[in-house]
Amino acid sequence: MSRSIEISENQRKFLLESLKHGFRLTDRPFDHVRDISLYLSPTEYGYVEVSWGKTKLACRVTATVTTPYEDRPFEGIFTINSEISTMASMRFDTSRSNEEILIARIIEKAVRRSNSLDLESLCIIAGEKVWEITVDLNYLNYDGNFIDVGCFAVMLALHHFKKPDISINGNSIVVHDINERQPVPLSILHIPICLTYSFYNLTDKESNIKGEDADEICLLDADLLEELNRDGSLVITLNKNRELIQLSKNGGLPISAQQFLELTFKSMKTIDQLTDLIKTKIKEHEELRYKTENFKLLEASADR
Amino acid sequence: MADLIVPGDKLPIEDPSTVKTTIGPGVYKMPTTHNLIPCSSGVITVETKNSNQLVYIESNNKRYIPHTNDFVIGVVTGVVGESYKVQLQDFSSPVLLGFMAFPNATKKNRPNLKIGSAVYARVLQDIPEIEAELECIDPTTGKEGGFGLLDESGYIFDVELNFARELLFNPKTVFLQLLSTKCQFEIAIGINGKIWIKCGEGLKEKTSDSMETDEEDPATNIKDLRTTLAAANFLIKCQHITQDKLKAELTNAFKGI
Amino acid sequence: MAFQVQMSVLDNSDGSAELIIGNTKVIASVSGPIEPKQRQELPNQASLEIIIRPAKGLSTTREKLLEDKLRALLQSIIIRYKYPRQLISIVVQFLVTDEDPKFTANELNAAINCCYFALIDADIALYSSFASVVSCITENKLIQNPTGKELSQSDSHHVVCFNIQEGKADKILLLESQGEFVQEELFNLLSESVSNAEELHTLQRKYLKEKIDQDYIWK
Repeated sequence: MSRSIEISENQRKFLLESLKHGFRLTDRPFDHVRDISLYLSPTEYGYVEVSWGKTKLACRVTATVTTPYEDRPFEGIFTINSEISTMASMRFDTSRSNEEILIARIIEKAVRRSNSLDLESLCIIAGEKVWEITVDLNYLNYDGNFIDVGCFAVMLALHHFKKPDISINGNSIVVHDINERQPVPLSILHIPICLTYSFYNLTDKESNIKGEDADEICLLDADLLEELNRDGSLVITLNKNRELIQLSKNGGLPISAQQFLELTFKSMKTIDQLTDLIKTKIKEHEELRYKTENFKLLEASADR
Repeated sequence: MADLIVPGDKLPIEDPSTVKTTIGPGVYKMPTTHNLIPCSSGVITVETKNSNQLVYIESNNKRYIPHTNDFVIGVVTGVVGESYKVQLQDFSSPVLLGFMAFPNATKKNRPNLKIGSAVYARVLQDIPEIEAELECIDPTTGKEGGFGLLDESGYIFDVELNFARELLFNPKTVFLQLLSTKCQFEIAIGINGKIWIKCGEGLKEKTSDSMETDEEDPATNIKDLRTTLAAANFLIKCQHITQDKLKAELTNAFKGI
Repeated sequence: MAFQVQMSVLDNSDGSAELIIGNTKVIASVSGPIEPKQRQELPNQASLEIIIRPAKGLSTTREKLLEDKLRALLQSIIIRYKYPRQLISIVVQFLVTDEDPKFTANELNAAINCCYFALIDADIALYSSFASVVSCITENKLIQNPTGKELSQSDSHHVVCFNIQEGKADKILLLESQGEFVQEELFNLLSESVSNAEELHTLQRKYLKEKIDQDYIWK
């Protein structure tokens, strides 16, 4: 008996009727993401906390030295752990429910399988020693849309993380403490951002041939109530270079190919916005760290 | 007396073996020693009247526990035997609402509740070891008395339990008085933290067989809808601000309507 | 030493608290009394579901052991007879930790103290308040609230949790000791910890008062 959230007909009807008249219950525009608040750890590289509205999660990146896989001696190892506990919501109480697996797989496809992290740069001694980068996603509060927030948090944490510097002496390596030598940021090739669109069929009829009067409503970044009442969803992952990374539409309300292409083009605005947010936040954080930890004194170069 | 008491503290009362004592929420009587201890953290109130003392602890929480005579709003989630299965809160144990617990109910005259319907009911029985029971009859008159189905034109939202108690038990509550200056509304307050509210006619659904007249202005159709949502948002926001900011919040919630 | 608490931080939980103590940051969520699963149900008491999640990696037997210790403590302090056939679900998530993984003292201490605030936030009935203190002994010297470094250099480390009756530490609810130490050192540690726990309780009252003021801010 898995736990479920009961929605009264009243809430459902209000939601659908509002959508029919062009507004969400929270008065957010259909193609806007919620308010984002970010926390980057000032003491530990690779720990971030991200909130999109009331959906909160914490993400940590850690690195250890290990032996590579036998069939890939030049590549490092990159794993993402994303288990959802009942802290996020009591409905995630059975381990590995379908929803949880889907969220984990989409984030993995978007970040790991798209080679956003350059695995060859993690190689230390080919065939013997490589970096193993582990990302732990801890979901703290569920208010819809774990996929987008999860992917965003992983990319932010990867940018924030710095691995210890290494010197190689023949076959042995020395891992330098981060206070001894400046740690090295990861080599990130591109920044995949996931966007989830939710669909609602508000007329009673469903048309098999999608013509020009497509009257499905399409929302970006659904919160909990919107997510529980949707008829279908689509996850598009793109990066700033207009490359399509992955796409997931598992059943649900059919939409026309035309509408799908339009959504992809419209997404670019939000993708740019979110990618810039990551970059600015990291830059701000770097500057703050530079000032507070007096890096200027540690520099061995002269100002021209 | 506005004093903080936490579990482990001594209750500031006369010895219960000498004075007749009534205990309320937050105070626990040890079954073996009959000692009274505080089991919640909150503001303690001790009242003495006619050599009877009353002690309880006022605290806030989100999880509702059914008690007899509470007025609650529940959502019907199914049918079990001769009763409806009703959910008072997400993940709580379901409670039962018998088919016969309605005025003028007979074996043939069953109430018409579907899954997802909201009802306003009274907790009839709250034995902790078994499922609680609700009924939709006013115990004093035997008639409906405001209980029963809450129709779908009203919006339901959640608040914290202490705020729900304030709205329901304080007849001069400033929040509802202030809200009434902006709109006319009908409200049902459940002590389980759920509130049903309808401004004007609330949600008017366009029935599919009514002719669509072009003269009907779509804006007026949704005015009541928007007002209802604004009223709900206002009440939700009221829980977290001080009273001096209420008027500003009210204007903010109703702007554009 | 840093000590900071924020209560009611999570929306979906009935009670939650985020605690920063020293260099350890932990968040706990409590939901209950709610419907239990069939196998969890107890006929005349509440059953407790305790889940501890580490800051790095996946749960291992290390976390299972911590869950066991926390369960032993909470089982006796929560008035379980008040909620028969119900479930109280407690999840503790470590966000930032300071010690080498082979030590669990700082984490256990943080988890216990955080659970106190989360249980109060959820308004779960408790027999009394409780406060936990961690210390270590290095070369006969007692160090209260050690950092991860001090812990790894110590001869023995101890976590002791007292229940607090009328502002005074009354009984020992939990005592976890590891390492080499003599009886005299232990008894000395216990009496130092009593005053530490009582100070902690004063801090607890301060935060609880703030919470009440915040809960009734609309009055």
